[in-house]
Amino acid sequence: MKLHPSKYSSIVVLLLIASGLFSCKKSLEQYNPGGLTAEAVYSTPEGFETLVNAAYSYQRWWYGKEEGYCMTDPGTDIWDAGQAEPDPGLTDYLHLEGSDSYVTQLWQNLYAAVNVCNYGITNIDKVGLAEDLKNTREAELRFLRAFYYWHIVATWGAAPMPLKPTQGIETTAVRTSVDSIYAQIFKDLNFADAHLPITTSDYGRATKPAAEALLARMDITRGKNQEALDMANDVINNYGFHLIAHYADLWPMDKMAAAEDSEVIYAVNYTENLSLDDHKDPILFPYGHKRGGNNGHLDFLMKYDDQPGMQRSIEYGRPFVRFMPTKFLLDLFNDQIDSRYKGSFETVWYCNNQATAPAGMQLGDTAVLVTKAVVPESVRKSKLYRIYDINDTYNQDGSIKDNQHFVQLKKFMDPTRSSINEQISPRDVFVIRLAEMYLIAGEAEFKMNNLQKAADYINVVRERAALPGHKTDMDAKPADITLDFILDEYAREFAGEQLRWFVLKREGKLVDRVKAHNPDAGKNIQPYHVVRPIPQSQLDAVTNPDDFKQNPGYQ
Amino acid sequence: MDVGLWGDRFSASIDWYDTRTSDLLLPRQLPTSTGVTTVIQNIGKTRNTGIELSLSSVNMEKADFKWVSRLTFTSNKERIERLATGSKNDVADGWFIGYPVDVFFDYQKVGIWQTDQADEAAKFGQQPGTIHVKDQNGDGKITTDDRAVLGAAVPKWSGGLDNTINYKGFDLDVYLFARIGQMIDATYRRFKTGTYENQAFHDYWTPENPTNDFPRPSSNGGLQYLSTVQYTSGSFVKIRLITVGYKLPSSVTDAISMSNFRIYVTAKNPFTFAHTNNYDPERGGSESFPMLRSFILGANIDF
Repeated sequence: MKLHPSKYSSIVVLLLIASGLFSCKKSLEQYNPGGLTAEAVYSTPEGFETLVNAAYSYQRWWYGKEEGYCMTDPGTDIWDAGQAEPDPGLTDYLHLEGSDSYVTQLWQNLYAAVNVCNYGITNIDKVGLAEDLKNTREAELRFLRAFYYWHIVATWGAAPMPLKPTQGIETTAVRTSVDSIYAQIFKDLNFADAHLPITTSDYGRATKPAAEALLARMDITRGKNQEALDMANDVINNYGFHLIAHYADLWPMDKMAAAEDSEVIYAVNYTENLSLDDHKDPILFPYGHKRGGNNGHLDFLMKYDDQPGMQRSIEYGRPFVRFMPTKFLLDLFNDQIDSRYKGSFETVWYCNNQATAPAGMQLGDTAVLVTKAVVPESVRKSKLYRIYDINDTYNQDGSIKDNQHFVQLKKFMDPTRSSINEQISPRDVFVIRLAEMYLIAGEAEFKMNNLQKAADYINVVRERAALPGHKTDMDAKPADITLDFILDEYAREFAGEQLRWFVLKREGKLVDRVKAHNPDAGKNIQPYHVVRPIPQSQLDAVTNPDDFKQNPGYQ
Repeated sequence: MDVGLWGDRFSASIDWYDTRTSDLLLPRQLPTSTGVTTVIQNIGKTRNTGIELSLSSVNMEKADFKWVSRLTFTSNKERIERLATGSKNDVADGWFIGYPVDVFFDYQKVGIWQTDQADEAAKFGQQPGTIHVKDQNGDGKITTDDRAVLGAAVPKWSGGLDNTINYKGFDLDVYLFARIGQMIDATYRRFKTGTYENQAFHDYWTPENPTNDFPRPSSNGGLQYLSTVQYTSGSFVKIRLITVGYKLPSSVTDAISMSNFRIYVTAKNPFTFAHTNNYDPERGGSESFPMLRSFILGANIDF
């Protein structure tokens, strides 16, 4: 059985937590015919389960959503904005300010999530859960609180860190230092590691290896290289995870469960019953997301449906044209030996519309080819189909020339949707894959100057990605291993997987690499962009504005 | 105060009021780092002072001619006197001491930076064609401290003038209505860049068209202060209603066994005079459910 944190439970949580906050100068006579108060619901074991489910559900505001992608992928060295650029502040650092709606929405939901976790952790002793279950649920809530606080501290730097549920009217806020927030993250994760079960029958719940994998990510972020190595090894060796044979098999919808069984350590899940996803509904789920579900299948697609011989189809998806790869990303792949290029990107569209096809083109013939190669004029003349080569899409300096036609990420495409324009995909978001543990272990060894061992770990990932007969070609030699090589390897392995901005930031390479490889964002990025602006709504609402100020550099 | 003169051919009613409200319950925004966005709280005290006036006059009355005029006028001044934050403004909710509850708080658009202002614009990190907002505190840079109360959603005054003329079987009714002094946040003035979505005609800046209305479009998006172009005067004067009718004389209706036969033409909202082109500001800024202009041809028949 899969865990589907129900939308209803999140409504209940929101309502109940808000209801604790009504205030009047004069005390009102209160009569509550439903008897539905936070204390009443969450003090029962059944009610407490809905709180834990709701604590999970806030992950969906970040994972598989346009807002979350904007925070992690475009605005790095490997992703740029497509034609329908959703947020130039985040994608190109163009006038990024505290009024940014995506930044505001995510701040709000991360803190709402923290508040739910805080409520559960603070009150769990009063619920009457059996000791084992109590420890498991508390460990889940602490895992989630750590996970949410990591997003907060990595995104905004020093920030408020409430550890108790909000009760009464709190109008001041104080910042907790980055070091103290990370200390709390480690504390919560260590508790989670000690008390979480190794597996779960409710897929999507936190497990012990998930806590350890997140710990490995935190260790490498904080420069604790030996600890990162030990944690990563623990996850690699002790829980039966293994890399699936073919990189490309990570992404088809019908192979998702197999990938989750072997390689995925932690995922945020969505459900095939779309009405139980997080889509906003004015009556049933007023606090939902405007699109709901996984939206990755929309955001990375190029504008194929107006090309000769093409029409929009379920198979090829609904092209939102939000994000496109930088030229740098495409050049990182040697597609002669590395299966991840074809395993990650769509480059050919086959004719599905005879009505607009040029004379001589039949259904199923190539209609559009996008390539990172250069196609000479003589070849173009001999072909019926449209060709967009590297120089059609990019200028010589790597800036974007054509922001509608590009090599597109296909990882999240979903041909199982019920209609052409369906926005909700039930695809789970793989948050931590085993491959990351190998790269973290390799990175830790590199930082401890063990280049051979570093290469050995990284080569596990590279060899899995090798095209048949090219395993040894893919092997990196110890002398090849540099920080830039490791960052390039992260790009090849995890392109589009909502990790990039955090990896570049933790290595202190965000500004340099954006300037070097993403000319459109590079011309705007400033050193202060390594933290995002605090939402203006937060700054306007605090009654201690002299103590709680905007991050430096923002207006 | 009520007055009737000249055998009640002229009557007037004047009300003056001063209302003070306290313990007003409204949703108040909290810092979202609490995990909570709003609480219902007694936000403080407001005061409303105003005048309501209505005049009615039978201007002329003869055997087969009657002309009646009715005038109404209301003026209200609303202001917040105290907030939950004491005498401090509550910026998050847009509540300011001395102002109405419903105001617009934002940067103030001065115009568009023009070509000959390039040097001045550069001091603010801007270039010709971008939106020029006012440096309210004069510190030489634009920060969130330069946001100000730009206007209120409530009018300073409104009034109506209704004239009814009856001449033999003909009747004419013209109703003139005005609402003055309110500001609207007009979403039809929204200036979107970087997408295909259609929008109203916008007079945008180019070097050859040095307008102060809308900025120079940018395919990269990322234009600043775009919300400021939407604030506009919502003042309007309009003919709310014109009705022309004709009633057949009873000699004719009797002959065809009817007790009443009147045909009429009514025009609703036929003319509006406002600062907004192609948009009736009575709607208040929203694009959904626009104000209707309708023309009705009808008959009243009684047997």
